[in-house]
Amino acid sequence: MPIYLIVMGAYTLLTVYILYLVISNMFQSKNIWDQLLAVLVIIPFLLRLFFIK
Amino acid sequence: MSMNINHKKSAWVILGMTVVICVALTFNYVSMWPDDLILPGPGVTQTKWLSDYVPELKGTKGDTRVFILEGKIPGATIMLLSGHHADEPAGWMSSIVLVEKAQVEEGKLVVIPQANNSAFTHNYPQEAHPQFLHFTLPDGSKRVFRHGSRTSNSINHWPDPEVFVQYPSKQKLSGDEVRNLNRAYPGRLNGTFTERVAYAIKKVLEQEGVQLVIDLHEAQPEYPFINAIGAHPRAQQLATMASLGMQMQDLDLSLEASPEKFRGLSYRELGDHTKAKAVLMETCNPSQGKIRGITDEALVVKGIDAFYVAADKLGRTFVPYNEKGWPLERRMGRHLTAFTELALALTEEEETTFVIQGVPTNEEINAKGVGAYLKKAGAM
Repeated sequence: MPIYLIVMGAYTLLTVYILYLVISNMFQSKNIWDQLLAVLVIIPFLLRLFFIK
Repeated sequence: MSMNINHKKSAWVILGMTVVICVALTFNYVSMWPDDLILPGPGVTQTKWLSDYVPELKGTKGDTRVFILEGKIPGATIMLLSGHHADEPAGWMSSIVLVEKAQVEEGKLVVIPQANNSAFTHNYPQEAHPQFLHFTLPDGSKRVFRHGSRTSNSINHWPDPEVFVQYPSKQKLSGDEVRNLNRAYPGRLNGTFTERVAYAIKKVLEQEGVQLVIDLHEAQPEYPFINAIGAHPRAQQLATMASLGMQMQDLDLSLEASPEKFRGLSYRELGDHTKAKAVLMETCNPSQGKIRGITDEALVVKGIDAFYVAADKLGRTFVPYNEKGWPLERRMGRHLTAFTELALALTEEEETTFVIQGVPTNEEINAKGVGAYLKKAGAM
């Protein structure tokens, strides 16, 4: 398997993991402003996950 | 500050809002994927694709249009290359004007307006660059072209290495330069996405028998290689003659030799690896510079920037920069005039002929604007 595919797989898994952490944190948070703040993090990670800049 | 609301419900609402924003951004992003409308004029005798020369590119964003304008009388073969960098519109708009308006009577002109088609599928939002440029025709109708970036799109060419080792020179450059088509020459078929495009362009030169290749670019006002022509050693005399011809028309065009140790550039590698004489030209584009002010479509097209006027007064620019700026017409006028002068110099140097009609002069394009030299959308 080419090395770039391994790197790409690891990159994607890492992106999914961070997204999971941020979204789960958003659901646990009882502060609406913290939840809104999470949007600013989720959007770029979600776009990266689907390779959309 | 905390509000008394159900935090699970609010999280779902915010997540839904995030998805909506992402979908909107996705549509905005993919809006740059369709090819631009380029309307072949009466002079175009064949419209080909890079994949006609290198079939491996078929169905990829590396494939791009190759327009052939062939006269009825044989003569010199010239290639006009542009769009290596999709954020340098004076180059590719000059090529598009020739495709839509010019007619070759003697010789052959091969035009690749958007050499790196992938670079046109994305832009630099963090530089506030516009995604599209709009031009108004004399009848009031509009034409729209994408304003892309300097490098291939990372969805086509990924990942970037930490250090880009150029093939075959092994010259080391910064990692993102791996997607710069003008560092990828001479290219290779089994190489990266961008190297395959460079390889295909070299094949076009070989198969079409190109004698002179002219690569059109733009640069920021604080960059020393500007309003200039760089020439491969075999094209030095040709470039000198063109530079003199430009000066006769009060257009300064400084002449620079292609550095032997700076590899991967079109005019160095195509000159070394094909029989063609190769040159590269730069005009002045403030939207690429780092000391510019408000960045929008007007800056790209009109080229007016107060910060560069101030920088010029401090002696920090390599071109004169006043309140009139460097509008696209002025930049294209330089490229088109230099193209005409280079073609003339080639015919004298190689005792051949090349006759072309319909190339706007510097005065004409400055007086009438770019829109006057584009075909109306829907007209064939």
